Amino acid sequence: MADGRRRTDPAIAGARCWQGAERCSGELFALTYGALVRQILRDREDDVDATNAALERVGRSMGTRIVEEYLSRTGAGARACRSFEDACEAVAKTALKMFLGVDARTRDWSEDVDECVIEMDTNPLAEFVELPKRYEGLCYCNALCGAIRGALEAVRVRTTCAFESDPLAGNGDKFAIRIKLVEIVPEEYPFDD
Amino acid sequence: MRLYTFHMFNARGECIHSRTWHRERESADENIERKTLFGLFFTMKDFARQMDPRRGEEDGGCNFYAYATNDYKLHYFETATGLRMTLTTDVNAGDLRAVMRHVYSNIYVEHVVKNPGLAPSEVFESAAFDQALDEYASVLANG
Repeated sequence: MADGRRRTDPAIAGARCWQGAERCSGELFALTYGALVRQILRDREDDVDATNAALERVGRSMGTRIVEEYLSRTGAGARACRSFEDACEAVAKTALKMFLGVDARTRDWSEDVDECVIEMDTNPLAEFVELPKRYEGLCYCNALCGAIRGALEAVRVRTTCAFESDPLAGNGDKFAIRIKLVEIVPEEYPFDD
Repeated sequence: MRLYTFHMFNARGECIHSRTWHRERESADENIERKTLFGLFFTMKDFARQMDPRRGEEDGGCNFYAYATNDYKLHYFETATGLRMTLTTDVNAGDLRAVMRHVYSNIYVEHVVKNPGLAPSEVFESAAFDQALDEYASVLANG
């Protein structure tokens, strides 16, 4: 590490922002999200795949806003999240703590450092939820994948995100998201001349 | 301190918002001026990096944050999302990095990003943003 400023531990930064943040009741939050999922299901006439896609789109547009809040609250500079590894650590340790109060970590890094799993200890979105059989295949928390993807895309890290384990779907006992790097989009001068 | 103009650009080089408090000379062509300014950001970043005699910050980047002329000073701020802001002031203004960050965090994020009626990083009109910015500018001007 170069001399001069030292980087704050991402987990500490997340905890600090979580402490200082204005909060709403977890119950209100979980139920509001539930109402949103319910409405999308109804609009899509219980088409689970279309609902999953819609949730991911909702999440993505949230992500492009959330990332600005993240950058502003953490005081991150113009070169924040410049590597895929930094970006994943920022999501797992800082952002999930800061916005959802969730403790999370990255694991199972691929050899090329272009893929990992973000494992969450808790998931406030899934509180009170039990999925009936007819919604098998519904990725109830897909907005979360969308939000991560949208936020990272805004800082020019293109990824794919999907739940690797989802207790609501009876798969594993913790929520975990597999995140893969597609590309780090280079910064380009936007005009021709 | 005297404040002249404020501009905000998105990553595609579009001027998404601007504010003028004092401007004695009209610009010849605003579009060309903005394009030139945006080109300068890229050139200056490359230039700053090329001239860096040190290894740079731990994250490998260095960039300019202001330039001064004998007539005015231009302050610059950039975020990881490619948002860029400039503020022109008189030459006696000091280091305004904290001021630029304040505008981003407490004015742009609060009034534009959190406003569901506006899209982040797109051209916007917001009375709340303008009011907050003007208030902050007048505090700076009199401070």
